[in-house]
Amino acid sequence: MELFALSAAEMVRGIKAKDFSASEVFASCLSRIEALEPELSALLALTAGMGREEAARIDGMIARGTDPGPLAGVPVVLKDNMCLRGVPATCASRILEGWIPPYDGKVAELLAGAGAVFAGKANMDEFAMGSSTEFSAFHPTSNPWDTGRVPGGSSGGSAAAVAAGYAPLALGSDTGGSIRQPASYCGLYGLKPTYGLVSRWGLVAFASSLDQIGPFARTVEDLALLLSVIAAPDARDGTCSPRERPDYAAPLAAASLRGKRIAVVKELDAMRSSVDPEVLRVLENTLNLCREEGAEIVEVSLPVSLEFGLPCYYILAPAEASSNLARFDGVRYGLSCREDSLLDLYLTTRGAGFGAEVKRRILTGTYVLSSGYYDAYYLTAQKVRSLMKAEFRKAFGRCDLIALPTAPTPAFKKGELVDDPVRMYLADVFTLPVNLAELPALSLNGGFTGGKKPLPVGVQFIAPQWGEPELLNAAAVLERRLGKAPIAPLGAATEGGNAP
Amino acid sequence: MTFRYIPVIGLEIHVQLSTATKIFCPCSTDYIGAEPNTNVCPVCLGLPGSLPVLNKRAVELGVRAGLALSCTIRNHTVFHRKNYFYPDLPKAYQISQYDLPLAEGGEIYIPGDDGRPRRIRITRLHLEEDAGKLVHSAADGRLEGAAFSFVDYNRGGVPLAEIVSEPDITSPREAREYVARIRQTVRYLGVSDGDMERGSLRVDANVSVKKTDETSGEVLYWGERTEIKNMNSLRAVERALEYEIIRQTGVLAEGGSLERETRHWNDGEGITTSMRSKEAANDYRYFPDPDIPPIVVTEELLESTRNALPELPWAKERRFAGEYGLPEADAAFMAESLPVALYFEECVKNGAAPLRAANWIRTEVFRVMNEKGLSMDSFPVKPSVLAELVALVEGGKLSTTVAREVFAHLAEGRSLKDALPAAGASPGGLSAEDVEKMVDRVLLANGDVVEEIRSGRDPKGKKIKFLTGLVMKEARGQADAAAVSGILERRLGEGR
Amino acid sequence: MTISEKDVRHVADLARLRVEEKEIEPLVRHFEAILGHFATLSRAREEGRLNLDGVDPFLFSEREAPPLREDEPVRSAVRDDVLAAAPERKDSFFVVPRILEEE
Ligand SMILES: [Zn+2]
Repeated sequence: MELFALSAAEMVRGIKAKDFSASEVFASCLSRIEALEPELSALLALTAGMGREEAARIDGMIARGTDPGPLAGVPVVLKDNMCLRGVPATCASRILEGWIPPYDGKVAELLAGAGAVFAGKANMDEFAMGSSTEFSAFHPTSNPWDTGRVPGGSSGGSAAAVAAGYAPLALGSDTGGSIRQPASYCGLYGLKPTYGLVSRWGLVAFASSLDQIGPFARTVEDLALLLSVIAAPDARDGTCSPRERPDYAAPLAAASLRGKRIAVVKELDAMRSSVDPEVLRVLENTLNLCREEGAEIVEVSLPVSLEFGLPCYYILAPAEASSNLARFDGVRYGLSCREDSLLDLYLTTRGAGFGAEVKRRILTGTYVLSSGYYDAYYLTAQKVRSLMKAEFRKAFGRCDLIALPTAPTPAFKKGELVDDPVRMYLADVFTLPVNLAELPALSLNGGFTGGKKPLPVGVQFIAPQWGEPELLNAAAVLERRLGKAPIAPLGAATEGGNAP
Repeated sequence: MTFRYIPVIGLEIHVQLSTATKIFCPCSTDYIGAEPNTNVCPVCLGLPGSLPVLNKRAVELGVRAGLALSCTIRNHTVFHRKNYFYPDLPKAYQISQYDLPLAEGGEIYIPGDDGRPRRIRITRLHLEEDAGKLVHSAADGRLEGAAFSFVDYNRGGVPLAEIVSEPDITSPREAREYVARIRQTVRYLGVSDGDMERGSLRVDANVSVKKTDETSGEVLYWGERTEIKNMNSLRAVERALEYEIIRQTGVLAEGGSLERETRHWNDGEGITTSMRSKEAANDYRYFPDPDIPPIVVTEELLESTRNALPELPWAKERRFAGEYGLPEADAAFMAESLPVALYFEECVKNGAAPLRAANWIRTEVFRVMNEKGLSMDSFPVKPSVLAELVALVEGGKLSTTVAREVFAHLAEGRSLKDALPAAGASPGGLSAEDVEKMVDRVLLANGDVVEEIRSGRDPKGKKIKFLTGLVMKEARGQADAAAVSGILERRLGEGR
Repeated sequence: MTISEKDVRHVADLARLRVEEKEIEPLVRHFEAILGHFATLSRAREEGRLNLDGVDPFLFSEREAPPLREDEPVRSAVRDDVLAAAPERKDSFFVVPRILEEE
């Protein structure tokens, strides 16, 4: 097996045992990237030089007998909306083209401190607004399972990179499903943590009250490993919880799901017609496995979240975005179309710098906050959000986890929805209630569609606040039944996992 | 019908809080004279990915000011975003407070135009961040053509408390008194240095004029209000409002109408000019800042802040008048600032008569301070020393003239022991015996005058005054003139 | 839900976004779709399926916030990098088209 195909945990063990070096691992990943990137376009920047140096430094530490940390020598890909000092962070937008952050985000600091090696910055929908990565201002990304399809979004580049074996780990950000939906489309584990578990310092904001950074991985062990590194308090983020983080490796040892109550959602029944039958079949199958592992399947009701979550999300997220994206004005950094008047500097820079979807959301957000509409839209949506939180709280009185499809369909074809943004928004219907309710949720690959080109299909588990250990517990038990997430069958070397 | 035009004035005062760091980032607030864009970081430059974290001290200072102004402090307070584009606002929104301000519903008393205390209600006090500075010429003062403006974010993010009054102020003089009172209060509290010229206390005025029936008092017409900006001194506040009220009254008296607008006070020309009218009014799209959790003001913080409040200026004035019998003006003068009040009380504690001590401070101490550009804290004459000097004068042992000379030496940094002889004064003053001897000497040397007086040729007492003057001269003023003339009269009477 | 072209232009103005003439019409339709979708809420409220009476819109108090920042200065190192990359700079100032002081 080639080194790039190892899990992060295997890489760490091998590097620490001196079976191979961090430099060899990095070189293997680099050649994998170079071989597949022309086909996938998953990255916006490759940090080969930086990564080589860092890998050599890790090897030096190993040689001297110093522990480089829990991610010693593991290549990691960051979504391009995260600040890594000295490496461009464009958010896949023309308005930030060429902007080089002069500081490290909290997750970058934590990863570097844990011995991780940065491999590159991943493509995304511009400012994380989208569900297909087609709204990147630079280029779309292909789904490694079927390059004619999208990898999902907005963290599509991160998901494609891990699914293709560029690196065993990547970080994405999830505002309405942007980690879980691409994890589903690319057959990976993707975790959206409880709001406030991971610091947002250095994450370019889309919707501040919904954004969370989270991990992609091909094994549950890796997912827990990366989560343990990034889940830390941070005094620079007033919304980052100061609470102590539990040991995320501990729940992996669970023998079964005995005693766990896993809930299906009553309202899903009425929505069956708008969900792909393959998605329902995979969900059903996964629930059967849960039952076989000793879980009790119960039913809860989430009427407000499933009916009104979507319209509320598309009021609240644009509202916050309209304000968060106002700072891109051509005065201090990024694109600046110099004009003779201040007004023209603003209008031209922002008109030229933002893509169509970002403009739509900025304008919607501006509208719903503007004088005379605030109460009718923003405030009402906030009230519904409160109801959703209460509704989930009530549901968790009757269960430990809630199971839902991650997305209504498997990966769709490139170009299929790009001209119908509102229909694309539907891809988030099962994921965004989780962000509105500030909960953690995990998407795992529950199986594949039939047919000539099987596509992965994700299942989403939702836990109460700070319930990440519960999610990892269930995922670890199911991984033993379903197998690890495979590297997509692309190029030469594809081994391991449960490839169909 | 005759009309009376009554001004209605409300003030918004922005006070820079005396914190070491900015309100949402750990950059220094020490921007005066700093090179442009040096006290900056990802947060106050609005870099992508940066987040604000509230400065605890700013909240504490806000609570302190709120309590001193008798406001109710909210136990949950929220920051909002005020969205608008301007180059001095790096995030294109100002973090401020909207419908849930830190403090509300306070009051303060000022001397009213009728001489009686007037209550001015405080609508609210809220916290917000300052904007950066726009410079319209280069750092060296050169106008860099007319094509550009320059932006410096050193001031951006400095904490401000905005204190908003109700429209309870009815004259420019009252407005001035109100601003002076607020400034004095924030200085007392150590909440701000309140320096208007350097912009750490900035005043905007909302002023309108209502037309009333002179006899019935019935309001016939409310003029639209204007907002006046750029008043950089107490005097400017008063002058700008005087001008604006006359302008508005003039327009109304001629049957014209006013529009709601912002006007700029031009101190040099003594006029206000229109800046922008209501049409351009912005829609700020306020909403709660999702980056900043609501601030919980604990009962504990309220209690400790309340207990740590200093005696406030108005209480001190009352006490000085009551306890020390100072006239109102003197009491106000002694209580004007905390260092002066402390100096005065220290003098009194060291035995100085309050009235005389107050007099000395108002005149001599302030004269020397102004001449030498000193502050009360660095003043070389310690209050205990001034107390000794005042006691000597009070006890008749030193004339005011000589004491002033002694004081001049003290102000040069000499000790009292050295200053007295340097001014030709006897440290212990003159004994009664000394004075008798001087009188003897004068009488002996002026036998002809003595003769004239004794023979009744001094009906107007001119000659006896002449002799008194001679004795006083010999005594270098250290004798009491009335006592000397008493002795003289007695002695001249003896020989008759 | 009726949205006019004027509404879209006004909002674009507030957001300082130059919007081309040909973009206006699609934006009007987009607004109508989004806000129309949201209108299902009003219908549900009328039908009694959704009750928002007395609902607190901001459940902020549920959050565990870190303590406020102590008032201790820290000097940031980003200044030189930021100025060096500024779109337009004069000495250590950022430069913008001239604004009249009264603007
Ligand atoms: Zn700063």
